[in-house]
Amino acid sequence: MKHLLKADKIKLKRSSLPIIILLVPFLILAYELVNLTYRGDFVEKQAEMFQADSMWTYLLYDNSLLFGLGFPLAATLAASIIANVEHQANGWKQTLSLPISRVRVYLSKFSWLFISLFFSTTIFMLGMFLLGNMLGFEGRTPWKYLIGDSYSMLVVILPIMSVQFWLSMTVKNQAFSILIGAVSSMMGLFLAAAQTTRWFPLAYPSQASTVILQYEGLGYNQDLSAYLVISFCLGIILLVLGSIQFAKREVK
Amino acid sequence: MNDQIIVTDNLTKKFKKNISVDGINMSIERGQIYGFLGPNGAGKTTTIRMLLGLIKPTKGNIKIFNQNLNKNRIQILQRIGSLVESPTYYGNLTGRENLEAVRRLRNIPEKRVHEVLEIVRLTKVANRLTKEYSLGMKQRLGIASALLSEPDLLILDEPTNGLDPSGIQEIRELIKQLPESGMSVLVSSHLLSEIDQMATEVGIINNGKMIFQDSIDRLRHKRKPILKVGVSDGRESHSILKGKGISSQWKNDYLWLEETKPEFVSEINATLVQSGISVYRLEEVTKSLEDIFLELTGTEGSL
Ligand SMILES: Nc1ncnc2c1ncn2[C@@H]1O[C@H](COP(=O)(O)OP(=O)(O)O)[C@@H](O)[C@H]1O
Ligand SMILES: [Mg+2]
Repeated sequence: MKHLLKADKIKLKRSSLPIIILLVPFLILAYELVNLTYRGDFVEKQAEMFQADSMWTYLLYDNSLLFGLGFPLAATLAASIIANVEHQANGWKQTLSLPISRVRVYLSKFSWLFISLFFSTTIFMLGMFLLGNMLGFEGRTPWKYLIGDSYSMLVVILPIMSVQFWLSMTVKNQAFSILIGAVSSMMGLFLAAAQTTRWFPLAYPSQASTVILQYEGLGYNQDLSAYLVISFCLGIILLVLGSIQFAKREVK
Repeated sequence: MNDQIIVTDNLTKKFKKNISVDGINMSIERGQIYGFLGPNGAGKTTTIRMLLGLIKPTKGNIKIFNQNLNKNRIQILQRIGSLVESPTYYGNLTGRENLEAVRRLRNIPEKRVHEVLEIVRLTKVANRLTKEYSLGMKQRLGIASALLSEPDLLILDEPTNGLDPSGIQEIRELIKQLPESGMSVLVSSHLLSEIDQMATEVGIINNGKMIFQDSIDRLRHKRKPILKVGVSDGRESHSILKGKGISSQWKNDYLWLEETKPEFVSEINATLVQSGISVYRLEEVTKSLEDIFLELTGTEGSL
């Protein structure tokens, strides 16, 4: 597996994967920077209205919708880039006639997708920390929430990762998987808005923040642990199913 | 038998209703260069994909290195290098990095990359991105990756496709020397002339069926020149020769004989003329490749 991961890393050289990894955290942080400086007064009023105990709490709440929309898109694009390296190279027939199990080939590439998105959320977390300090947020840095906010997303997105990755690996035309990924990211936002449909896994990314707006103001997200458990189990199941299907496919 | 490298038994592949490969019994022995010949669409690539476990046969069995491909795919692939159809190249990588990716996967010593680059003469351009390579260079890169693991069996599907004559020559010479190191080679082509110049064994496939499988010498024998004789009375000439124990054929207004030695030709001439037949033409005719193909398939087809 180590050799396989190394080989897949080489194949990703000079690809646009790093751009995708950086894009979402940077865009959201740039937005927040503008929001917190140019609209500072408005933001402060709003934070007061939501009974935020600090600006940290407000930041964690405010970015969750954008992050919840943007991160599934990043996952979609990253999955597509990783799979497309092989499609573009006409590489499946070569890679799959090497002496390695096909399930491993699948899992190695999935690992790179996971690692990429791990970097993305980590950058996002560090970015939030820097932003808060730059703008002189009061109170201690709530590391627990910052870490929770970023890495919950990584878990909650697992089912989407598994499905998008499988689509990109098995359907050569990447426009197809990207379209599905884009439509489902947006559907997630709508699903999250209604009481019943918000339990549908597509809706989790926009609700995976550690801090949410409740009846009595901003507070800790009680449902998060349920989202995490459901997403993790579902993500693994979908990953296993995808890898089995991939291993059985005829190679064109 | 220990020397059997590939044996297929009634190998068949159907796509929906179309039979692409129809009951092939292929047999390749150690050290052979097996030329797998057939027109476009005959089923060569489909057969090779099955041999590499890329697609599953609809029917039949494959044994490679005396092991069942179904059960021991990975062990078998360990000893195979392959190039299937249009070459694989990761355009965002240099030639060397392309080989490096395969090398990592197969856990091969690093110096082997330099060796294969040298063998296919890509050392000079090894550090250029492969998307800038010409088709011939990509093809040679594909052969280099196939050679990387020093395989016992090399499977090359139309390796000279799209190459210029000197490139074809180079690859042919390369393939011909491989058995010296104990390698066996399966190489496919749609050109009989090409197979003729490098193979020791030939399998001809047409419409999914194996229509000939034997040594190259047996195929060459079929190309032996024959004698075309123009005579005034074909029927009469035929019986005169028959009386002398010489068999001939009357076809297309000419008399056809199997031998072309000068003594034989003058003897025929003398015999016929002395019997009062006028002989107006004696010509040595070499059968074209198309003729042989026609003979084998019984249908029109182009190689
Ligand atoms: N994946 C596929 N689906 C349907 N038909 C196929 C597929 N692959 C090959 N064929 C058909 O099988 C036949 C043999 O093709 P192929 O093995 O590529 O021939 P060759 O390599 O000898 O040119 C062709 O008629 C081709 O159209
Ligand atoms: Mg072919």
